[in-house]
Amino acid sequence: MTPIFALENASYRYPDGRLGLAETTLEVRERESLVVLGANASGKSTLLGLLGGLIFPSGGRVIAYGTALTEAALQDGEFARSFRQRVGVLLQDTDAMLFNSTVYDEIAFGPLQLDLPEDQVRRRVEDTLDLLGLRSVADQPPHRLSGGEQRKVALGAILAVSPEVLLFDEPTSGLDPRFQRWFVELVIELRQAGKTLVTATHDLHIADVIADRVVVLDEDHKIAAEGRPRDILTDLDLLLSVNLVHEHAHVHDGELHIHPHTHLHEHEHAE
Amino acid sequence: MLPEWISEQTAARAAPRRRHTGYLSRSLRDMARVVEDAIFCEQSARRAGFLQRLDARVKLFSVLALAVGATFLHHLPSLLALGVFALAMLLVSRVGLGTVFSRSWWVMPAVFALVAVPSVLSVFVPGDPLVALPWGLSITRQGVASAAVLVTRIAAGMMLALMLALTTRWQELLRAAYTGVTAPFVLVATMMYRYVFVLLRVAENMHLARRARTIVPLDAAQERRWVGGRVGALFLRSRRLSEQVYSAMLARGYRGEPKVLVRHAVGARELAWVLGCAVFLAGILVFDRAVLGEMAW
Ligand SMILES: Nc1ncnc2c1ncn2[C@@H]1O[C@H](COP(=O)(O)OP(=O)(O)OP(=O)(O)O)[C@@H](O)[C@H]1O
Ligand SMILES: [Mg+2]
Repeated sequence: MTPIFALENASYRYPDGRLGLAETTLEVRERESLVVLGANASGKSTLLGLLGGLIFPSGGRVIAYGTALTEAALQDGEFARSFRQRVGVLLQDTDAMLFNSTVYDEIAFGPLQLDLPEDQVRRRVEDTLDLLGLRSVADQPPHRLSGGEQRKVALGAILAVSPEVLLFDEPTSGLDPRFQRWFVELVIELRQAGKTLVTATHDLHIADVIADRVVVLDEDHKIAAEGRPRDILTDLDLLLSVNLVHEHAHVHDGELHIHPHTHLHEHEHAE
Repeated sequence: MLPEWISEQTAARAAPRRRHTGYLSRSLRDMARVVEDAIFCEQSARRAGFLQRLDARVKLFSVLALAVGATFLHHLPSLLALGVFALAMLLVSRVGLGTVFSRSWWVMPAVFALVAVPSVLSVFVPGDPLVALPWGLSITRQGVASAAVLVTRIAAGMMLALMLALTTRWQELLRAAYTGVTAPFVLVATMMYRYVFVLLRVAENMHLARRARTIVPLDAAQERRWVGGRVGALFLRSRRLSEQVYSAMLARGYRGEPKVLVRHAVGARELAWVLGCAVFLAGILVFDRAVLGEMAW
């Protein structure tokens, strides 16, 4: 299968000189669900920014749909247009995602840019509102909603564009267990609908449920491992070395168990 | 291991005598509210009134035409008529008097101080004294008349602006103003408009975070320093955020051209409105010239 994205020794350095991502080579294949795991500051968001054409590599190349992503390529023209329609990005910072005066407008913003006819835009918005259970707040300004609701609006704003590739940066942060569950189901349905997903997270459980393939970034901002979730998520030494688990994690019957690191209560487990 | 001080009870320092500086810390939050209320007239713009239903381009054009026409009016009654017309249109369009006032009162003291008071005094407008003041100054009849005209002119202009602002959603207004020539300005305004929402939230959160971490009220100097620091932090944060907001807009397909959902068509209502405006404007212009022109005001 042809890869949708290919990073060829791509690296990124922020304008202030800090390294965001060290030289990385990676492919994202069509219709796969790739999870990027890494501790805080390992470079997950930087990687997603590169894939989403929001920042451009300082070294190496990022190829998407056979074209190198550069500032010039995404400036204007047919490629820019189709790329933005095909690739949706959920930023980690919800603040930056919500810039409309109402939830309704927020979700309508993307479809409007596609020049869809008005009735189709409206249908997409209403379906999205229903999908996320946001209908009752449709006329509210997004900044008056709770953190979790804001996250949902940001997610809805991307879904309404219906991109082929969805880049999710910490999609479940700030969401209650019920919504996390819902999110997992959404991902399964999106997969059935033929979407390609790249999810950045440090939540091992989410990774376990939604990933076909896992990439682990270490604290030097490079890929420490890549493989099937089964193999990666049971490799305690690896997870320890990249600070995704602490010493109190165990593997039972091929399942990862994480116990809170605390001495307040004695805990026992049957081996 | 938690440090041991965490399990000890910490007695808060006794509060120092409070001076009136609360306004400083509140100011950040209030600023956010005021900006929100003053800039965004979403509420009144969403009501189903006459002006709200007009096509935004037509409305923009008609208000500009009326504003240009107003510069040719020189007499109090005709300016008053224009202002009353605009106010009446607002009221007809279900925008309450309270809303109109709350959006316009703050200009008035400034207008008064800068324009009305000096021009009433004889130093500026010599003429027949009405009231004598010390230092050889006096309030003159001509001064009062010209000040009245000035104030009315500004008030009428304000009403015209509100006619547009209170009944048109920003997005539609920006879309209406978007032409080949104005494109760069509209682009900047669009970014600023979007961005203010983001900043408002950040400012509000900073206020809350600060409140949550303050145990003992700060004294005046600390308070000033804190607000100063916040403004600085807000600026830094805002630079980074503004880049991200722009990224997020691009990622959702934004290419510089404003697009809105509600685009009214130009129909009978618009035609009637433009015609009505034209007749009204011609009427007061003739009235101003032919009838009032002869009289001394
Ligand atoms: N705007 C920026 N300017 C300078 N350095 C940055 C910027 N954003 C990130 N960095 C740095 O780049 C590195 C990678 O950051 P990145 O945001 O990609 O990490 P992350 O894996 O997404 O972390 P988290 O889990 O906390 O979101 C970090 O060392 C970070 O300090
Ligand atoms: Mg991140």
